[in-house]
Amino acid sequence: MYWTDYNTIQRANLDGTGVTNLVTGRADGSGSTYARGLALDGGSGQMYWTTANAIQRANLDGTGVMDLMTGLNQPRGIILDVENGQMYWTINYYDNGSNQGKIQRANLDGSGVTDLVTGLGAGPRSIALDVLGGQVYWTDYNTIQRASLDGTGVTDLVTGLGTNYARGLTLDVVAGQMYWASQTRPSSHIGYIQRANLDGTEITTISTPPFSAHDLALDLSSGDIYGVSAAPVPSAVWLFGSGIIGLVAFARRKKA
Amino acid sequence: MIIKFIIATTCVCFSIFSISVNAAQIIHRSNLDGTGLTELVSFYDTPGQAFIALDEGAG
Repeated sequence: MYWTDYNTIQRANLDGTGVTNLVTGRADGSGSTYARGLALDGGSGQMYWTTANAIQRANLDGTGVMDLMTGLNQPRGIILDVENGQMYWTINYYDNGSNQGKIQRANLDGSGVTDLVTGLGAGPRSIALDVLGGQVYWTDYNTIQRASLDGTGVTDLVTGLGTNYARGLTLDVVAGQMYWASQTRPSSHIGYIQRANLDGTEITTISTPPFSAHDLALDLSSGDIYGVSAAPVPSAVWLFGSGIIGLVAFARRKKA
Repeated sequence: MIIKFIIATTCVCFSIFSISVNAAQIIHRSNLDGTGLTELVSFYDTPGQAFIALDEGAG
């Protein structure tokens, strides 16, 4: 399994052993990767990821990092259609009081960038494909939507999630289901994994706090869900508590 | 007394910064029905930014 942790891209065996740093700097060597969305092409042995303003690619061992596109505004989730030589990604951008969220597509070499869906909110994040069904799915805050692969026919699938924002999204096309990870705002430490039919019906909650997954992936061969979740920092919490106690004690002594 | 106040204030400020900027991230695995939850890897990151992908063929 592979994951981005903002400053690096890492991988490990599926049992969590053998954690290895793969990419720890930008392609131009100018500091942190700021890696966000991540997609793999196991057939060609390459991985693709988004940064704050670019899409990059490297071999699965982290070598050969290169920019495919630059000058993008906050790309987030990315997904590959290897068979048709294309990649899709979300733009998660808010500028001058205006939502600039959209879905874009390009060839795997970064050429032919096309706006598929525009006029979305500021929160498009994760993206998933049903190539055979001809649909692209994405999360946008408390909504899950889909459209045809040419961007037409945008449809709300799941709405009314309130402050429970959908984050990661993945599909089990064979079973006709989608799975998503959500986090309750404003806290990022409360979340759920839920699933529904691909048309958004029959929503089921399958994982509840304390884990608050913000992305997930399916291993359908073994029937497993892999999620990445935020958990509170115990040491910081204890430090916070001790600081508060100290301030209260100080105030009481001063009052006395 | 002033030193204690400074220490306590520093503790509060630092911990708020720590919680807001970085949090422990956990990669976990479960069955498709949510049972059998297992923690696999933990690391530190800006909350809510991490993505995960599988290369199932690699094992």
